[in-house]
Formats: sequence, C-alpha cells, structure tokens
Amino acid sequence: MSVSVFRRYTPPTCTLELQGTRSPLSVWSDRAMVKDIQFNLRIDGPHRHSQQKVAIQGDRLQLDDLYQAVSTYVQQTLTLSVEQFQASFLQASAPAPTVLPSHRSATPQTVASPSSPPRPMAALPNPAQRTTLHLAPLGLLQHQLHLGPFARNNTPDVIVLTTTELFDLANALDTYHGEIDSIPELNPGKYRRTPAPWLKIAAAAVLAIGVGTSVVRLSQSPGSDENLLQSQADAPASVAEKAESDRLSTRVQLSDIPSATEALPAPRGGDRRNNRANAGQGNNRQAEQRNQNREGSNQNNSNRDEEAIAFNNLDNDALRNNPRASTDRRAADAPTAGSTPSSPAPSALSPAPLGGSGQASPNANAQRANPPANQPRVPAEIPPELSALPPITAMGDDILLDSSEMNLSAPPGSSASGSTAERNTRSMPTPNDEAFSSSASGWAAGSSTYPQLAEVRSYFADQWTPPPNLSQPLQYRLLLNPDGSLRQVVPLGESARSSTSVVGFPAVGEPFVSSFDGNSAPPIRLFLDADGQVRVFLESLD
Amino acid sequence: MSSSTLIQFPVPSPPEPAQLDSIKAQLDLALLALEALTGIGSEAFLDAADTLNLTHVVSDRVSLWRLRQSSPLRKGKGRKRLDVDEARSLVLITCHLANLHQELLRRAIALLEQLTAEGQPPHRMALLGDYLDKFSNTYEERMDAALEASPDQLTALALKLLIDLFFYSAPNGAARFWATLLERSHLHP
Repeated sequence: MSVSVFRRYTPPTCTLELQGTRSPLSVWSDRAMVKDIQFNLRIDGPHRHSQQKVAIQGDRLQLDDLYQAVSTYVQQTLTLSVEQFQASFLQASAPAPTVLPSHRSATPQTVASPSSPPRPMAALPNPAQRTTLHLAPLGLLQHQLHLGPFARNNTPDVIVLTTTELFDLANALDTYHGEIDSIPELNPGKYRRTPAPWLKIAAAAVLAIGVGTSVVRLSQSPGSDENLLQSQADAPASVAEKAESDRLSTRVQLSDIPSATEALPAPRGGDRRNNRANAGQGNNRQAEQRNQNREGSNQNNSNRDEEAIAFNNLDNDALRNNPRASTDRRAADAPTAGSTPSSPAPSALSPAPLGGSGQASPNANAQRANPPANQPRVPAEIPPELSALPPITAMGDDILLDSSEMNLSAPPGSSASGSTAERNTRSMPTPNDEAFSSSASGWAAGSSTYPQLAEVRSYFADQWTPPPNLSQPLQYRLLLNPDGSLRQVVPLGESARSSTSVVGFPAVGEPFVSSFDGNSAPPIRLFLDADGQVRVFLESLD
Repeated sequence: MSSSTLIQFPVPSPPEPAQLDSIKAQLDLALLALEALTGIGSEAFLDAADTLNLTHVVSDRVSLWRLRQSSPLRKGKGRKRLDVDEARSLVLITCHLANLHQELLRRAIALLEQLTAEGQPPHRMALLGDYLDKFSNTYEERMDAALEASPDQLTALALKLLIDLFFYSAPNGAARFWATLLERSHLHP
C-alpha cells in the first residue's frame, strides 16, 4: 500500500517542494524511499520582486540532475584559488560602466530569453553547455543557472542566483538528497536521450552473432577440442552423449584442462582458471549422480558447481529447517548484489590463488536469484576450503557483493585426484554442518596451518574500535609478502573502502606477522564486526 | 567519539608533504577569518572541541596553539606536525563554529553582494570593514613577514574565506571543507 509523501524545504531565498509516493521498501530503510517524485522549486527570496521570482517544475531525474549540477558547481567554486578569486573580484569591483549596470540589473532578476543573456564575467559556455543544465559564474557573487533542456515556456533559460541564493538552493537540495531515497522509474522521462536506431540494430546483430556462436560451440562433440567450430549436425546423435559432451566441451574451454577424466595436476597458485575448473570437477562427481536423470542444459551444467557452492555458503541450519525461506532469501539478496558496484578488479587480486572472475559473477548471481526448483541441496558437498569462510548470513551487503569470489573459491583439489584430496584432508577438517555454520571452525582450520592468522587477529583485536554508526562488518583482503609484511590491503565494499583510514592497518612493507614457509603467502580475509569482534580467515589453502 | 565523526572524511591516499602544508595553511586561515569576523577566541574553539567530543585532540589552549602553529605561513613555522585526525578535528570545529555564526556570515555576504552590485568597496559597511581590517592586522601579526601580501591580496583572501565559511556553515559544510582541502592541496600545493 502506498502513502503519499510531501516534503517542503524552505531556506530563506527558495522553496523546494517534493511530492511522491512512498515505497513499501521504506520499511527496510532508515530513509524514506519515494517513487514518482515531482518537484517544484521556487526562487522566491524576499528581495526579488514578484515578476522576478521563478518557479521550476520537474521530475526526479531532473531534480537529481539539478542536485548534481549545483553540488558540483559549489565545490568547484570553493576550490578556486585566491588568485583566481582575486582576478574575478577585481574585475567585478572595477568601476567600469559596462559591468556595473549589468550587476545592478542582474542581481535579483531572471533572464527570460536566450537571445539576451546577462553579461557574463566568465567566458560564455560553449554551445554544448548551453543546451545542458549547468551553472557558470557571473562575476564575484553571482551565478548563472542554465536550465538547458529543462526550461519551459513559462520559465527562463537562465536564472541568475546570488551567492546567498546559491547557498540556500544547495542546502535545500542537499537536505533532499540526504533524506530521501528515490526509486528510479522504469520508464524515464522522454528528454532522456534514447539510443540511435542504428545502435539498436547493431546491438541486435551482436546479440545474434553471440547467440549463434554459443549454439555452435555448445553443439560440439567431446573429442573435438581442436575442431571447436564443428557444427551441431556433425555431433553424435545420442541425447545423453550430447549432454555429456557439452559439459566436457565447456570444461575444456573454461579451464584448458586436457581431459576431464584424467588425474588433475596439482593446483597452482595464482591460476584462477585452473582453480575454478578443478573446483568444478570436484563437485561434478556427486552433482552428476544427483542430476543424472535431469536433462540439464549446457548452461546448467557449467554453472552447477558455482550454484552448489553459493548455496553452501548459506546458513545450513536455516536451510534445512525452512528450505522455502532460504530460497526466498537468496532471491531477495540477488538484486542487492547486482545493484552494487562490482568487486575489485581481478588485476588487484592477481596474486591470490582464488578470486573473482567477471565472467562468473553474473552466473553466480543468476543462480542465486533463480535456483532450479528440482535441484537438491546437499550441504555435505561443500568443499573443505569454504568452511574457512564465514557463513553468508553473517555478512553485510558489501560482503554479499563478493559472493562470486566465494563461489569461485572452491577447492583446487577436491576432485578425483587422490593426492590432492588427501592433502586437503590433512590440512583441514572434514566438512560437516558445524564447520559450515560456525566461523570458529573455519578459523581453527586455517590457524592450525598458519599461525599468522592468530597474529593478524591479535593485531586487529587491539586496533579495532568499531564506530557507533557501523551497521555491518567491514571486509578486507590482506595480501602479505612471504616475509610476513603487508603487501596490499584490498577493501571489499564501499563502507570498507571509506573506513580504511580508521582501521589502523600496518604500513606496507613493515613487519606484520611471522614469515610464511615457501615463496608465497595465502590471501587472508579480515572481518571487522560492528560489535568489535575481529575474524580472520584464509581465502584458500594451497 | 571521534572515530565515528571523523570516519566520514576519508583520505584517498597519504598526502605529500606539500599537500599537508597546503592543508595546514588553509585550516589556519579559515580559523583566522572566523576569528576576525566573529571576534571569538580560543575559548570558543575549546568549547566547540568539547561539544564535538574532540578534547583528546584539542584539550587546551596550548594544544590548540600548537595545532594552528603548524601552518607553514606562521612565524616560527614547522613546530609541530599535523596528522590527519587533527586536521579532521579542526575541520569539524571550524564548521561547527561557522554554523553557530551562520546568520552573521549570511549578513556579511548579503552586504557584500549589495555593495558589489552598487560598485561600492566593501569597506563602506562597518561589518565588512571591521572584518577586513581585523583580518589584515591579524594576518600581518601572525604570519611570516617573508610572505608579505599587498592590501588587495589580503582583501581578496579575506573575502574568499568569508564566502567559503558561509558554505562551510551548512549542514554538510564539514564534508565540503574536507573535500576542498584535499582538492586544493592537489591543485595548489
């Protein structure tokens, strides 16, 4: 049920009125979430005569554009050097007759016609600027607000604002922006530029080529690695064989592994593609048994591993008790993850043996949003390394963004390779329900192998004082040098990025923890909780 | 406390020494302008620090003096480094005090607009004249003589700071001030 919202901001020289419809999503936010916003802005300071008062109407997009333009301009004005300001000031205060009348007349007035713009002190905007919403200085204390395409018949193209009016307008817009979350409309205003028709045709052509290429690739036979462009007509006829060959063909392309049935080589740190492929092999054995009666598409086959791992990061107790609720929750999480900025670029994470891949993330999110209804959920298939990660229910939005990385951080060796599996068993406890749902077991698993985890945790336990307004854990990836010094801190999520300076990280290159055996150090995931708790996990074990 | 308040002013990268000098100078000048316009003294700064729970940074007159003395424009410059938290604290104190005196700032700006529109020098109005005189005198009294500025330059500086303080008196003034410090330090170190 919607509730109408009306807000009025009344600084001394302008009035900003907003009306819209309150979104039901407001119950999930501490700020009002409003859709279908319409605004009415009046520049109506007491020093303006009635005919000099201006009113502007528009929708949310126009209001956001106005907010951006004013905010940016104010900041640019503040950033001016004294020399730039002095030049403007001396120019404005010079008793030149050509300037003074302009100032006298322009102070409270509006310019209604583009053919008679006020005399600008700064350079005239270029033609492109004239058609856009922007501000320009007019002497020392006046500012031209060019309404651009938003000007209507009854409003001027340019409004001359004094500094006090600009101050009040900026404050009103800031207050609006701080109080209300607007929900974008599906059908933006028609003044938004739409793509040219040829762009649509080009996009359709690219889509057709992409789909066609994918169909050709998916139709290849299992033994045709060197002949990937073989058409579907040449492939074996059996449906079952075709499904299997599709899966294997995709694996080959993804991982460059010679054959999925051969014993896998030992995982190599830093090779994400191999890690990802190995993870897929590890899960495929049981996943195939589960789904042998299902006539899965090739897409489902290629995503099966990620889907299983994504699921396994959820709170397993809750899933067992209420599978429907868990499915709903994942569906509700998906838009959040999809609407927030992506995780750091892979290049920044390159030393990590595990990490995100831009290609895999959409798949993971799509799987989380639309889990196949007939796919059984078996927590026992969780790879051991994932027990070192905290349950996803303990994570905030920032961490949910990183789910694609966790999905891909499947074990490099939980596959048919006996030696690799044995090594994993030796270094980590056998996965069980407690291990999945308890971060403590994950911590124990990593700390038994790497005492540096305890040192990292001890360091941040002393350093970390959560600010009162922190509502979700801050998450960082710590990349260390083999000698134990800090090499890089990768904040995961916007809140972590903005709080980096208050966490108190040690300086890069200075001694931090004891040195690691070997030539590399595993990446470490650091969680700083709002309740002061510090959690440290290994992202992987090589 | 403070960490919750200061957390909203991130530093994208460790500033260079020249940028730090720029930040220290800008902070001291903003406070100087505020003093010149409102007539407040160190007691008001300490009260603001107390209100903002920043007494661990600005605890007494000596610590305040040391912070302001870090400006490279000051006589006897370089007595103390100014770390990022101290800079943030001074930003918060400045904007808090500017907000308390927002009406006075608005009146001064309105007078300046009026005089400029009439082609009159700002000294014609007592509020602006007193402000400019006090700012110039205090500047020459406290700042390094080697940085001697002409009266026109000091007038422009005082008026620029007056307008800046007006915008810093807004509810989001501290964020604007912090962004301005960083941007100016990059553009005009």
